[in-house]
Amino acid sequence: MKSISLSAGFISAAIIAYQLALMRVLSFIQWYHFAFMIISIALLGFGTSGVILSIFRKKLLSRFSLSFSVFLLACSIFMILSPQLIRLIDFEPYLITIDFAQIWSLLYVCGLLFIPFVCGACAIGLAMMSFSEKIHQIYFANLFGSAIGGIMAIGMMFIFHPLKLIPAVSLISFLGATFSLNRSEVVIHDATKSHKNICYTLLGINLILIVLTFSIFPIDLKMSEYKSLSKTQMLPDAKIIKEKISPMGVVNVLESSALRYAPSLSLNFQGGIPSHLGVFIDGEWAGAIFEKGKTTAFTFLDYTTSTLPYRLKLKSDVLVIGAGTGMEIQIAIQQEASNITGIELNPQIIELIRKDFAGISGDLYSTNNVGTHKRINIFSGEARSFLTQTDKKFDVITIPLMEGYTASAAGMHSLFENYLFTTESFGLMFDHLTDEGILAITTWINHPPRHAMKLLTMLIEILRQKDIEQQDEHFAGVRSWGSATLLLKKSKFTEKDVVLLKQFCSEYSFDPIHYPNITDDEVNRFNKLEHDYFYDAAINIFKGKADSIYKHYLFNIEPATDNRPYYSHFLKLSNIPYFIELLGRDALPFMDWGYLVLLCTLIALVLLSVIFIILPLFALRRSDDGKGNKLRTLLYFSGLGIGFMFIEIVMIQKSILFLGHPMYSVSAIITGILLFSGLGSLYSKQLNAEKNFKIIAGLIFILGIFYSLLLNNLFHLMLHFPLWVKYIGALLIISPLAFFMGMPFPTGLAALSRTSSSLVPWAWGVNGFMSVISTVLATFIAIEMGFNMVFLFAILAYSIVLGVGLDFKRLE
Amino acid sequence: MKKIWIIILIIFGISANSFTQAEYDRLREQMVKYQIEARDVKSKTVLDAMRKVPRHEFVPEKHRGEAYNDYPLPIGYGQTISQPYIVALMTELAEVTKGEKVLEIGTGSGYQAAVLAEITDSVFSIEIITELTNEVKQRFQRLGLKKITVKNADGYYGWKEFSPFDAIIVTAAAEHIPPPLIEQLKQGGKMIIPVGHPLQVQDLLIVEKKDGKVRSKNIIPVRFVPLVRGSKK
Repeated sequence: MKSISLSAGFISAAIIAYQLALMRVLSFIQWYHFAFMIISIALLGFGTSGVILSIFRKKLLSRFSLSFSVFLLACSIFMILSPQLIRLIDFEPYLITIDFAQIWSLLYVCGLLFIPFVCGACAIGLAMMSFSEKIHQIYFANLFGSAIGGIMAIGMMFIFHPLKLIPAVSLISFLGATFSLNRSEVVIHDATKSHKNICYTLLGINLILIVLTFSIFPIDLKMSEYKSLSKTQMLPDAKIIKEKISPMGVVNVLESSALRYAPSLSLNFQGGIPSHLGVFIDGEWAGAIFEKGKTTAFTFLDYTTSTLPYRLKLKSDVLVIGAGTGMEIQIAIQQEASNITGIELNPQIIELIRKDFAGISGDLYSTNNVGTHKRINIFSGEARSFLTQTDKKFDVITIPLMEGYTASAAGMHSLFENYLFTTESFGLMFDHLTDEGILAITTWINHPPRHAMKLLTMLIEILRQKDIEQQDEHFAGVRSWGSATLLLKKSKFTEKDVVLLKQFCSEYSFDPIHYPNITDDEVNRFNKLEHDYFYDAAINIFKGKADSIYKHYLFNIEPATDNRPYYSHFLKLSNIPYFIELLGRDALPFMDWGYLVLLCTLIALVLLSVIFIILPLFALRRSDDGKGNKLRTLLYFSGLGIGFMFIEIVMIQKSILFLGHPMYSVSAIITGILLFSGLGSLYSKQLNAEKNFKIIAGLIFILGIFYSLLLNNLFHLMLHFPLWVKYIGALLIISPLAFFMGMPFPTGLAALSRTSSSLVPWAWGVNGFMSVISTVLATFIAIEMGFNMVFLFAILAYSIVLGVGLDFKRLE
Repeated sequence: MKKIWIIILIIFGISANSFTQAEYDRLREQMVKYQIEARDVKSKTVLDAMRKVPRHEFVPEKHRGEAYNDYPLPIGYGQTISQPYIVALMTELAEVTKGEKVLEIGTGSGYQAAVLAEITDSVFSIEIITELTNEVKQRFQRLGLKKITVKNADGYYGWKEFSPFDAIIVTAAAEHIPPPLIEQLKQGGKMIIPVGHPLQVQDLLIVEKKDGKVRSKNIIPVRFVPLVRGSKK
């Protein structure tokens, strides 16, 4: 029995690590939307395994040893084989809207990647079905293995390039299979000689595949030729001169004589752009490292809208949020800021400037505090954590352009939970301004305007929230042909400020968006739009018509909040039919790519759930011992799937700010939940969970509400602790809830197996399906209604579980 | 069974490449009528040019059947051939007349240059990707397009030797507009730049040089106008 649990643990670890590895690979060669696709494929595999186990239950149980080993080995083999087979086709989903053949490619890829998950899930499900009396142990192994697999995957991402992750991960499943075959005869004790031969042949094939993949046939999946890095690599003499890997992404530094980055430069600029290196994260543009010394000046930086705050606030003490590769820091230097503090989330980027290219950047991020930049301090971390821990006030707080223009235009980040661009975050920044301080944020302008419009509504909303009178005298902004810089000032903009702003616009041919007492004839002169949406919006919001603008504007420009932190999400669901009617296939750019992928995934999953859950339900009706209450089983295990995943997602969301980076939050919460749920499962028998079900479900309910109300305060108290303390803190905080959340599933399954064992694989499948739908559904609900609603639905789901599971005899 | 195979062939677009010259001509005429004229491109010179240039010769073999469809197509190297309507609109906005000098940055497939060459004798085009330049030179030679001068270089610097230009068309979305190009634009000249998602161009930027001043203007393609005006239903 121990070896079965051990194998289940190993395969669970391998599956979760493989899932994370694939997400990493696809984020690297394609785009991060595929994370959703991989999660869905993986959980679909689990759902389908339930159907397979239901249909072939008798055959599989009668040959348990062979079936179990073959499923384990097939999972391991296809972990390598599937990505290798992707190379055989032309896979470029970016072109899916104009090249319909890509739909087949996508289905081919999904089908291939589905195989290892379904095989692995069949092995785990089969073990649960065969040893139903020990289900708590196997479920513990499953959850504990998954937790370890998650940690291992994150660790591996620091060592291996994404494309090398897959063979490394498959080694875990191979070792698990080998270990179980060699260590104990239990697994194959009832096997005939031919069965053993099959197992050892598969083991041999697996080993050969791993060796070949590590040596002469690496998984050589090509990066999409439409990613910025691929395109830039086609420039003359382009070559990658540095690569860094971590779970946050692959950082590439590229040099080419044809590389020139000067975002939305004034049309009046007539000089040259200094040569520089290009920095890319996962193949997308992340910034430029300018070569100090090769050029006499960075004059071109004066010709960007970002310099406006420095024109109004001379010799200022500046905080740059999102310092990146240093362009904004360079602007502050150029504008003679007296003191510069920079915050950058990605430590690899800081390391690039501080160590790898210190010479080229002229020691821009030097920690030695010597030379010309002794007034510069760069910190690695999350800006809001930084601001919460300091009482320091700044004359200028600035957020520069953070992404390439194309990514911005394509709605690539519509699903990205951005806690920097929320009203709470801007409010915090506003509080850290000196009495005459300025908050300045620069963004791209797309057409019809979205990003800049939402930024505008958010900044004005801050003034409303802070109860500031004569709000229109605290807000200003300018725009060029491609970017806008919007300002909030703690005190009123003075007449002198207005004169300087007008001079700035006139000198560089920028158009003002707003300043106190602006008139119609002062806007839209140099960079003409059909009409000046920004000016109109600002004027109308100051007249108290904000709600009407939010309602009637074609896109969602309502301020993003911590509860709905989707700054880059602009699509209004109700407008989809209008876009399609008006533009047909050209409507796509307005749909926000990420959101569209999410929506399609959700629809596909619901359809697949009907095929794999509802239809087998009818098939099972005719089976011999399927006499249990199917509706109650469906409600119980669906409720568990939804409740569990929704709570997990809300917890991840709530700890992002606390831990400072989504990666830490995901790993801490997933590890904590899996680990402690596993322990809960293990101890559910000792605690007589079936008898005490009411108490356990009630505790989940009460703890859930307690967390929803007090978690933020608890995190706030610990905010100033070092990261490792906060990480352990998050793990411990989640532990009591996770412990009890681990009990209802094995308890329900054990109860079910006593009288309606044919429903066990089906319940396993239902739970898997609901988990997959929940992952996508939670994001969808969060975008449309906010995370508080996700939590409310989680409580509702557990209420159903409580209602259905109160009497397990009825469930049976 | 036969029917199933026919359906499969259609789905995979295998039958798409078997058009005759007459069919291509018919498709091109329809393209001009329903995609371009219908969307308010009025210049007779531009419409005639669009009628003459065999677009299917500028797209990869496997996409020939779709050459006259209303969307951009991939041409390899991460590049695309623009949607026919956008090519027509850019050409119309450039207001090129016979004898004027035009510079194109980003030759790509060469289709935009070929359309311009139907209007004027002096078309200069620069492509930075060597492979694309070689392909396009062969294509121009095969199609007898002798009015277009192509070079493989960094378009950022323009083509000083032949400057100033009456019009400059930049076919790739740019994060900044190269100062040398503005410098090489004639007084009164226009530079046209598509802005936005490369597969679905949403609007065009016109940079005008007049009376020593440089100004920009956003032009929204006609089908997007209702969106921009927000005239929902």
